[in-house]
Amino acid sequence: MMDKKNTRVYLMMVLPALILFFSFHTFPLMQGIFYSFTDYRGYGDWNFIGIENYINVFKDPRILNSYQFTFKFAIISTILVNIISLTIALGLNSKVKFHKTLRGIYFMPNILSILIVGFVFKFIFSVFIPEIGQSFGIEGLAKSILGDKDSAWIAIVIVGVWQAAALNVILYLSGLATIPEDLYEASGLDGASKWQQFRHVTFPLIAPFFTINMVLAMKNFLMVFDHVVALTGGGPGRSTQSISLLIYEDGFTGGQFALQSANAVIYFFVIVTISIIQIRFLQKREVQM
Amino acid sequence: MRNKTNYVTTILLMLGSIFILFPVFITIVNAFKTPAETAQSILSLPSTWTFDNFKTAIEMTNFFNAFGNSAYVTFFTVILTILSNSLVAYAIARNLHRKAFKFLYFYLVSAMFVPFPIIMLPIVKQMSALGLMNLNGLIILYVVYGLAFNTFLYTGYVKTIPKELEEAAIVDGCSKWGVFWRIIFPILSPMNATVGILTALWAWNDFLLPLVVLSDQGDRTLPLVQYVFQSQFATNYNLAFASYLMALLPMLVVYLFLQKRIISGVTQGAIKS
Amino acid sequence: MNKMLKGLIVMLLAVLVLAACGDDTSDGGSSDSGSGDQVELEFFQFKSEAVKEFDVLIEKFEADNPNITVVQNNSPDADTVLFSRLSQNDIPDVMTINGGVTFGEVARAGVLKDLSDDALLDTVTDEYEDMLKRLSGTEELYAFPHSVNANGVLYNKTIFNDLGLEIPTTWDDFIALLDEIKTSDVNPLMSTYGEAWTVLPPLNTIASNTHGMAFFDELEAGNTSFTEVYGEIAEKVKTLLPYAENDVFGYDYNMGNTAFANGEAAMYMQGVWALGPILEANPDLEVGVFPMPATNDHNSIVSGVDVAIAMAKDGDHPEEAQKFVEFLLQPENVEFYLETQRMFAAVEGAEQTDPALEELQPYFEEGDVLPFSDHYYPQGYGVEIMFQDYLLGGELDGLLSEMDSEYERLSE
Repeated sequence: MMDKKNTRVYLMMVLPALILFFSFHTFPLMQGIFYSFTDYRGYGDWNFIGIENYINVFKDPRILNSYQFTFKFAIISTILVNIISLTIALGLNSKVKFHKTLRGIYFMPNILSILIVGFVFKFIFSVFIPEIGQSFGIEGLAKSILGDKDSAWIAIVIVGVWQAAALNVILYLSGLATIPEDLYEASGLDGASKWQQFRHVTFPLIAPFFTINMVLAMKNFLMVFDHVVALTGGGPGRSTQSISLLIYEDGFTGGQFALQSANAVIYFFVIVTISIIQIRFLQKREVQM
Repeated sequence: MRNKTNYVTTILLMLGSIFILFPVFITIVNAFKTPAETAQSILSLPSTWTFDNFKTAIEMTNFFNAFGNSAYVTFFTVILTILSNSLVAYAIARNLHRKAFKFLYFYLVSAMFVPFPIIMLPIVKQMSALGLMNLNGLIILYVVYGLAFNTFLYTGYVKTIPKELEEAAIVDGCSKWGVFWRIIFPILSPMNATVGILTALWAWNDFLLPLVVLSDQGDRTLPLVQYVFQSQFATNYNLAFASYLMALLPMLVVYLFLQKRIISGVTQGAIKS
Repeated sequence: MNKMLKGLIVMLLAVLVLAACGDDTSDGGSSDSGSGDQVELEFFQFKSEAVKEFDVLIEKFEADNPNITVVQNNSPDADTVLFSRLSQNDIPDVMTINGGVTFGEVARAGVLKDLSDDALLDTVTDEYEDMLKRLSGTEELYAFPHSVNANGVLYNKTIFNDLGLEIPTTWDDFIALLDEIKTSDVNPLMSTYGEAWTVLPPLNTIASNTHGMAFFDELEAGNTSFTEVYGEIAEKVKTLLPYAENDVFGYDYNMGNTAFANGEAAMYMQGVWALGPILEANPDLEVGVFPMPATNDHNSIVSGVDVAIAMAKDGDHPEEAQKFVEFLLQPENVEFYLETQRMFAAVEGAEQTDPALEELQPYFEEGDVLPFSDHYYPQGYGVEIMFQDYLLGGELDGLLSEMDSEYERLSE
């Protein structure tokens, strides 16, 4: 009796939100999936064409190219962000002066709009650094890295890492704060080298944080959009065209809404699969440690 | 031994922070300079600190209007998100042992992985049909889309709150609603802070959703009006920097004053979930 | 519990119905356009650099028509916004559209008013009327051409005088001129291929002058291919590349304008639209524009409709909209616009008098103009990106086969 009444209350709590969520997220999503089986251009008439769009996704060199860039970018950025932010967090966690100020500075990028930060970085890469390169006669810096097909993606990695590290530093710091000081003594490793302490005590204890940081960073980087818009717009050529940008550009103004909807559906499954694999793999390691 | 200040690390961290502050420094000094001064040296301080660039940028972007819009959207998004999302997550977290709620949990959380462009066109159609192509419509979308990640955050936190607390209150004659608002919601405050901060940053800085949802010129938010400096007729970097600085400044000021609370808000949320 | 389920289902259905049939019932605004009532017109205007000029014109219009209020709507990403409004069937009363691929798409979507029999057309230049019809691929005309632009070579008159240079009229002369400037310490040619679209001005001029507009009909009929025709065009574009001594792929359009304004190059292949920002960056620059000599035969100027004005087919205030459009197309109002925008009129009776543009004027008077080639590739073709790729070291064969295969894929 009591339980039934409770269930009703719980349902009342979730229903309004659920209805809104369904109508503003799931319903449009279903429409998008529906259109991926048509030749809809975003307006006007359309016909059912079955799975043709899904076949074409795999034949479209632009789409394959965008997957290549996005994965290269996401994997390298995820690894770099985690290495860098863990290093900074360990530094901030040791006895340092100006601890609070430093921590405040390192978290700052997280509050700034990536679009605007991207515009500023674009200026740094395309005006400031080449100027330095020219006045000091450094060949390698004299030209903007944004104008080079082989290096433009590095600029996006730099900005991506610059911003994403901020949140991850704080998350790692909060993980490190949960480790009691005397644990190092208790573990009998007090005399051991810093690396051994880290390897055998610190890291296993913050492993859950490592898992969540890896998964979230990877997911966010796979969906990269603002960084690219602000820095390169996908160029030069198509060298930095991310999957999100391609879906947006070709799907919205390029008249290929249906094809890009199919691409987005596939992309959704790719991201979910990768996240699940990551979680499984990393959680297994958490247990082993 | 462990209590000695680690000067090497301090210096390394200070050097590293230069890399963080550098873009902000570039923005600030060049916002006050003339194009000629910037052409001479990008790094030097301006010869005179004039606000001319800011004046022009304010005019070009209709800054105060955009600022008002951004503030309105951010404020109501944060309030409504905290109130509604915590309630939903609470109900889910207390019933995770049931299939329906477990499904609901994964249903909401998996939306985190849906690429936005696929729903963009249908949602624009729908918002227009409902007459919601305005700031209020934008707020609704933020609150609703926030559910995905916030359910994930809140649910983890609610699980750590012992059920005995609620049972005691119910014995005292509190309804489930009363239990939530009087007992659970206050306990959730650290997580409310986390969600509030993350939501505020999102609503304040977002570009794509306002671009497609706001149809009226007067509704533009700050990120949208900044785009004018990327358009094909802008040659004046200094104006752009002045405008960027004004768009970044409100968040920077808030951060400067509430830094400790913001960081501890994010930290606490992270530990508990 | 049962009651609640029912309630839930009703609510869900309501949302679905609202969303599904909303398309036809786009909010009508103030549909009471009876006499004496205030009428509000939405004027969707894509050029952010022309907001002020249109504001002045609107003010003038409102003074003459006190019962009409015109609200200018200028969006940071007009194409995206226009397409999203198209998908909602929420068409602005009056809109300006660039006479490019976007216009063709919008016109074909059947949401614009057919203007084929409008009396206003008498004052409009026929070439541009045809151009817009060609873009939409229809017999009907869906927008009035308002002002037109042109590609050309912007040149620094001071540098030309100092070095004693003459304006070339053939491709060979052009190359010889570039070689000559190269021996001095002046950068012969500013090129800014950091953005992809900036490849288009030279590409369009060379392409349109080389293959003419018949090429696109032949292409559609399957009688020719990009591989057959574009080899020569691509090589010409590439030939020009080494004459640019600036960081070609590091410069974007804005940087190029600023650098050219500061006298950092003798010539700059762009369009007349670049004059505005250049002269804003340096009002004292002595600058002129000559038609790019793309071939050794006669060269036409490549020009397109910069601003076309269209009206919604089912607008709420057709009469007021028509009145406003008539007002915008009056020669004196077009001329007012041209003063600051440095374009040419598509309307008879309005003249462009800027001295920087005098070398292009005869071409417009004689109608010696060709359209932009890139407006006739399929939507989403991305020719500029393919060319940017090629100029960054891609193979010619790769470029040509990509052009053919993309054409095939997109024109299905």
